Parts: sequence; C-alpha cells; structure tokens
Amino acid sequence: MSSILRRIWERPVNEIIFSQIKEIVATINNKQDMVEKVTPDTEWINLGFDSLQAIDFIIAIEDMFGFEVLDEDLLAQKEWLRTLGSIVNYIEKQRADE
Amino acid sequence: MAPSAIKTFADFHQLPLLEKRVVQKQWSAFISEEFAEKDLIARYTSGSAGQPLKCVLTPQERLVLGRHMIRARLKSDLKLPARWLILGGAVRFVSGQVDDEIKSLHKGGGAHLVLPALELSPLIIEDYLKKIQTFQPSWIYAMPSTLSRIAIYACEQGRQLKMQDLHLIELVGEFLPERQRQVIESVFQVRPTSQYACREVWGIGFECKYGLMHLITENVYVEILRDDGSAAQMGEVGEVVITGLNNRAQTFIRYQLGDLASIHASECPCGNPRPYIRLVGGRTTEKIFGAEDKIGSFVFDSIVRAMCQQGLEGISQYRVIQRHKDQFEVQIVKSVSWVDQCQLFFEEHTRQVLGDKTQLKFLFVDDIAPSASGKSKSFIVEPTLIESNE
Repeated sequence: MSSILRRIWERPVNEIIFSQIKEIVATINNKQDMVEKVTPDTEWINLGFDSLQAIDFIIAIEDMFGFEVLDEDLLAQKEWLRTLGSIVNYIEKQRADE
Repeated sequence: MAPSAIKTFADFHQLPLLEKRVVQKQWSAFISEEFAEKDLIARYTSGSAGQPLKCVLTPQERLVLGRHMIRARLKSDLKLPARWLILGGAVRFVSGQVDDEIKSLHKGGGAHLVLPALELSPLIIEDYLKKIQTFQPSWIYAMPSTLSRIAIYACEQGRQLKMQDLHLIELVGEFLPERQRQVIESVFQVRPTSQYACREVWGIGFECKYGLMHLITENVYVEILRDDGSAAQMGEVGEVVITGLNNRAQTFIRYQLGDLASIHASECPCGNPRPYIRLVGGRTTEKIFGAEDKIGSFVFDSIVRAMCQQGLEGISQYRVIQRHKDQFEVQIVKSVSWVDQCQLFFEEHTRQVLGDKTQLKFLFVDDIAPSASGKSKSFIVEPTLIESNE
C-alpha cells in the first residue's frame, strides 16, 4: 500500500459516520446488540452477511451518504472494504471528492 | 487480437462470436488465472441447449452483479429491506435444496418465505394463501405458471387478498402470456414484472412499470445480430449476443445466448433512458403433454442442473422426448463422470415432479443431433401425440 493510501486508511475514523454504519449493520443483521459489539477494527467478513445482505449493505451506504460505489471499487477487492473503519474512511473520501 | 488493439466498437466487433458449446469444450480457457478456484462460486445454467454450463464468479462479482439486479428492482418500486416471498416451481426445489443465496436470504433486516411448488393441490394452495396473507410480502419472486395457478384458484374461490405492502411481483424463468399476467394482477393488485437474466452474466434487462424491459447497460453490452453476423438496426429482430461487463473470473465476450429479440430506443415515461429489449416468443414454450402447467425443458433442465449441483456431472448431453402421456424417452450422452446414481437421481426427481405413474425409458447414445433449426432442444413432445389430441 502506498504511504498516501496508508494515511487515508489509518487516520482516526469519523465517529458520526461510524455510528451510522453501525446502525446499517444492525438493521441488516436485525441484531441490535451488534451495535455495541462492532468496532472500527471489525472486519467486513466477520459481520456475518450473506451475499444478498452484503448487497443491501452497499446500497444502504449509497443511499445514506449520497454517492455510488464504483463497480471497479467492488471488483478490485480494495483495502477499503476490509474493516468498518476503512469503510468509514472510504465514505469520507468519496464525500470529499464529490 | 490483443486487448490493447481494441480501441473502438468497430475493433470490438471484429472479435469472433462465442458459442456456448465452445465454452463447454474449452472451459478452462475461459477462466482467468488471476483467481484461485477455491475462491470461485460455481452455479450451473439451465442447460436448455442440452448440457448445463458451469459458471463461476468471485464473491465480489456476485456483489456487483447482484447490486445491478437490486437496483433494477428498486426502479420497479422494490423497497429495502424487503419481505421476500419465493414461490418455486420445479426449478429450485427439485433437489430438495434451495440455493444458498435464497436459503440464507434476508434472515435479518428483511425476511423471506420460501414455498415450494412441486405440487399445487387445492389443499396446498389454500394453505399457501393463508401463509401469504399472514406473511404480507413486499416482493414476490415466482414462475408465471405457479403464481397464476394460485391466482386462478383464489379467483374461483372468490378469495380477496389484502396485500398492503406488496410493491413488486417479479416473474422469472418462463414466457409470461398476457392472460396470466392479467389474472395475477387482478388477484394481487400489482402488475407483474418480467426480468431477462442468465446465469452467465445475471441481469440483462428488467421490465419497468410501463412494460418495457430496459437493458441493464452497466452490467452487459447487448448486440442484436442478423444471420450473417452483421448488426441489426434498431427495432430489427436478430440473435441476442452479450458481453458481461463485470465478469472477471470467467469472461463472456460476444457470447451467443440463442434468444431472438429486437432493441429499441427508449422514450419511456418511467424516465429510464436505457434502450429496451423485446424478446420474440418465449424462451421456454414447450409444455408437457398432459401436464400443461409444466414446461418440459424447464423441468428437465432443472433436474439436470440440480444433479450437477450435487456433484453428479455424468450427463454430457441429453434430450427428453415425450412419447405418450406418462411415457418419456430420455436420450443421454454419458460423460466420463457417469455413475448409475445419475439415472436414479433423474428417475426419482422426475417422478416427484410428474407423478409416480411416469415411465422413463433411458437410451444411451453417442450424440444428439440438433433440430432442423440448428437448436438443440432438451425437450420435445412427439408430434403425433399433439396431433392425436387435436
């Protein structure tokens, strides 16, 4: 990973966006207690989503934050989708670029 | 031609057309070396050309392809999270299993209800009507013949369904006659929507509320070609050729689907500017004599696909010929993976769908020639059988 990207992914997460992400996760999993359990370091693959819940998650992010995740960003298995923290940082970056 | 040499559509159209049988024969040649096989998820096509094709996708590709389908549904008034009713015909339930994406679907934020439809006796339909009424789906996903049988029964019994949350009825897998569409709409108070998709690339087109099937151009590039391979004009009927724009692990470039259709420029009131596709005739119109609610190719393709999904890949090619009401001749070209269990599987599941009286005669052959039209139909009704009934 380049040093620029590292700085993006490793900066402190935006708490407001993170709390919104937690709500989306809890809604999709229908487990309110998950909100208490997940942290910025929680890995995407550990959220317990099946394939269609994963789609719901991406669409919910797009709806809530008003941008479209590019197909390429999903296909390329980029680092941004690794943890909830990296997803928050990706959202911040997308909003800043708009 | 090297990828770097393709700079224009004209360059792209120089690429050769890809037939399904070529992908079958040289399967590995179409799989990218960038992905480990263990990371790929395999599913099989219906096998309407005689043998199911193994299609693989990465989880990321499934996410992208699935998102395009969901977006198309959202344009047709689907709301998320959805309460999803899945009414299976013979298709997904013939093996006693449901695809994992359905089985585990919306176990959280949404909800789903799966109702198998192998048998639809009045007693079962009555039970289903109660379950549907209680569940209150927002999205129904069903085969036209299955849902129309339930709708006809409800009409006959004078049953009024109150479906206050229902936004989308998505009909799949069969040609949708207008009469069936009207019956379903009258009972469920929502106009059914058809989709056009395939296992290889998933979403190709999705019908809007004004009845036009808009292409999902973010997911697939569609060409309509004349018999000589030249491009058809807008509105001219030709063969559907697709290129999957999001398939990386297994590519489908200028892939011949075998369907006939025309493409039209969109001036649709729904606001979707994408062109729309009009399929000519149904893709699955061969009905089983004596069981007219069942589409022959659909039933048998489903059984063979389920067989493959169970690891029984013993059929290289097959064709079923209905000789009499309950008598079927099953012609099979064995593959090297043939085991006797394949035949038992076929027999058992055919009887589950068509009843215990069904007699199957198996013929093992070296080759199955295509019909005069050049297409390999997996199900044929003996012409004399139809004539004798006329």
